[in-house]
Amino acid sequence: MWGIIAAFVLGIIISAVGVVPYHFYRHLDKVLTAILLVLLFGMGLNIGLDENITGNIFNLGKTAFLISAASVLGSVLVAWYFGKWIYGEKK
Amino acid sequence: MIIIIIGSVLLGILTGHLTESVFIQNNLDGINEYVLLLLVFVVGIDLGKNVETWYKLRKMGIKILLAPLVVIIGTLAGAFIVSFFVETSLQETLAISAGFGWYSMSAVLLKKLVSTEIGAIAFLANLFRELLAIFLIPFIVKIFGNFPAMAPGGATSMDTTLPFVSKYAGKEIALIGFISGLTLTFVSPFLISLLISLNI
Repeated sequence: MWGIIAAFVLGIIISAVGVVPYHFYRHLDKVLTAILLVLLFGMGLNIGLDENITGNIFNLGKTAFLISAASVLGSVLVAWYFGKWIYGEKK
Repeated sequence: MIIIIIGSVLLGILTGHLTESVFIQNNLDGINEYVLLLLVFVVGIDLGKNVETWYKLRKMGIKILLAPLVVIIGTLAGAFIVSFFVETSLQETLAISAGFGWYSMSAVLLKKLVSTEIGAIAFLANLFRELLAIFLIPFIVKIFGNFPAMAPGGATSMDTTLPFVSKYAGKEIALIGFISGLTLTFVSPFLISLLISLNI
């Protein structure tokens, strides 16, 4: 996790001091998408390699999906409700 | 975009299922880690471009820590309600949801603390949380405004879902998301252990 923080801060610093070439920013979207696709592929590999998960994926997947959907919905609704007060967003 | 995202996950699952490669099995976690670092580094470059974002955030002060708090409360509330409809117990459901999208950690921890099955569900549930966040952030911003965009990703608002928060809700919310994700990353292992140790 410290690696993640370091990478993030390093990215911000080299960008803020202006050593990143201008044309890099123009292609930033494409670069991000490419990295993300590699990451998602790796995530899929992780699942595919685990026989415990692939052998039972539909059963486990249903429960897992319900839990994740409820977590997402709950967190978004509470964030929305308190958002005005925390962040003062005008919408 | 969504089709490409699902496609790369499915392609990964299929490849992982079929492959005999020892190299992949031994080095996958390490490689994934480096790709994640690269992603966060590039998002950092994106955010560092506009230094004024940081000044706007300073006026929020300590209130910024309420962002991860609402994510925790909302996540556990959602898990509490859904626990009546799934086969996992209330305690297990809460603990699984307390992974906040950090599927590798929560899966390993819950496999150790409870069972392989709960570990596998934790893995999938938290992976789905990350994918759901990626798909839903554009719609969440449209319906609920910018601020809630930092919530669905949970802990992943500091890495995988960060570029999406930044793209759809703006750089300021992306920074709040990063701080929220970071806090949740610290909190998650403790909260999972705590929930499992409770007698509920």
